[in-house]
Amino acid sequence: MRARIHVAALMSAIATALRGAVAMASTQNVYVLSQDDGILSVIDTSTDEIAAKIAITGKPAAFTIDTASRRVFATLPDTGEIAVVDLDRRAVLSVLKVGGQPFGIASDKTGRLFVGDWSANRISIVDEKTGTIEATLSVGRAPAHLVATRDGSRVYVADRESNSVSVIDTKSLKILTEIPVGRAPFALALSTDEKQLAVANVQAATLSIVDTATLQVTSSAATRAMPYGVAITHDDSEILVSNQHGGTVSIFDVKTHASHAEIKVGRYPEGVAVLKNGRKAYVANWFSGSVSVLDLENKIEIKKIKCPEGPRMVLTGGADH
Amino acid sequence: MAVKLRSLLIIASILSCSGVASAHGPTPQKVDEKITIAAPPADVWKIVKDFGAIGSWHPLVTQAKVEGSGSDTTRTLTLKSGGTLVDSLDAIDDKAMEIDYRLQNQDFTALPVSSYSDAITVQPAAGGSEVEWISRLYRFDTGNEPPDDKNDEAAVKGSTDFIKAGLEGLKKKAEGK
Repeated sequence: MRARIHVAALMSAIATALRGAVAMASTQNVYVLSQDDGILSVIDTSTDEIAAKIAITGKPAAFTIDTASRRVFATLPDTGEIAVVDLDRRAVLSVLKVGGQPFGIASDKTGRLFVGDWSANRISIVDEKTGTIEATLSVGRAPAHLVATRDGSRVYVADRESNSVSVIDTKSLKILTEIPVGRAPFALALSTDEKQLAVANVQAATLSIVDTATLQVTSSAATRAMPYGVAITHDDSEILVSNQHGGTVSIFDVKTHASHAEIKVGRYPEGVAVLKNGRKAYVANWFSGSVSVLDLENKIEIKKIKCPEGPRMVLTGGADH
Repeated sequence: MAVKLRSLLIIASILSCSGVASAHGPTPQKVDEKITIAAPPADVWKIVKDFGAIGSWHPLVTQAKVEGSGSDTTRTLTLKSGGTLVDSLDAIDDKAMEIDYRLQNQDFTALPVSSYSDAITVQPAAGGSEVEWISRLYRFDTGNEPPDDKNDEAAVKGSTDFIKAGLEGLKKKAEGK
């Protein structure tokens, strides 16, 4: 009798563990950084609910995920710091002191962070373990968001006040070129094939597409007012642009660069991220303090998730986290 | 257009000479104010959507001058304090009854902010309309150690006072008082 109960309990435990393993393998998490409340929220995309809230002291503005070390690096412009978050322990491990006004950040996948200093117009190359600044590179004025290629060989920087995108070769630490785009580029997104870079120009209200082979702008479609966030679907078919004024997300066709859908979201939307399976997108509604979940097949908003105040940036994690 | 470009260049050169940090950078602040007005939404919207008419209802605005047209529309507001605010129009949405615009200049005498982007919406409400005026703004000194009169609190207070006064004035105008 007793043995049978043990077996039953064991079976049930195994079943639970298996369900957990299956869920972990298929669920992709989305991370949302709330600047005002200083919280990195983890959204479980199988339920579209916040599974964890990781407190970061200060007002974190932007972040990057290093999939190899399973760490998040979040910039704190007001205090000149970078918070290092362990995604397994879901806690801040350490704080790197880099000085200045760190804003945009990208990892080159070899343990180095490329960090924009908003008011010093430069990129610092930072050892992600020690926080040591190994080198600095001058870029255009007010470097906003940064994006790195998957192999980390190249980093693109949106130079907001110079109306350009700086292209950094991370091996030689040289600026390959500064590409003129529209007025006030802020957010960037690379296509999965990394052949195209999408640039949202806030004041020009345009979407510049850069051919990453020629490093030339190939198209500049008009957007709604104040495009503040951009993402490309994993199959490289559509580009999502969040429009801060009007509170919508416009969806552009990658081939024609024409907008074929517009979805109402929350107020002053900013960061956008798309799941790797391509079916859903997540939008940080800065003013509303919420995240909109978009169904990309039907082009509708299916949920608004209340989140900590001041959400500005969203990123999707890898399939294993 | 040529004049506008020249004035923008002048503003840009003043900014770069005086060493004022570029707008943005630190944490954006928000203001969210509402008022109920005893008038039909369509009537209130008619007043709100007229970008250059703000001088006729905002008690702190003594003059409003509109230049340009379409997506190239700006207005220059002269305030009672003597300061000026230059706004560029981003969108007028008749269906949503929402007008969006943003600040183009920086004038400490007018408001202790380095930039804002505002939206005013009109909605039906019990007894008439509800008008909501929201603002996303940055403090005047966007460096990391702003003095007290140029920090986040000062920016939010200045903007809140300006917006509240505007809503009160709009209510008076719309209710015919």
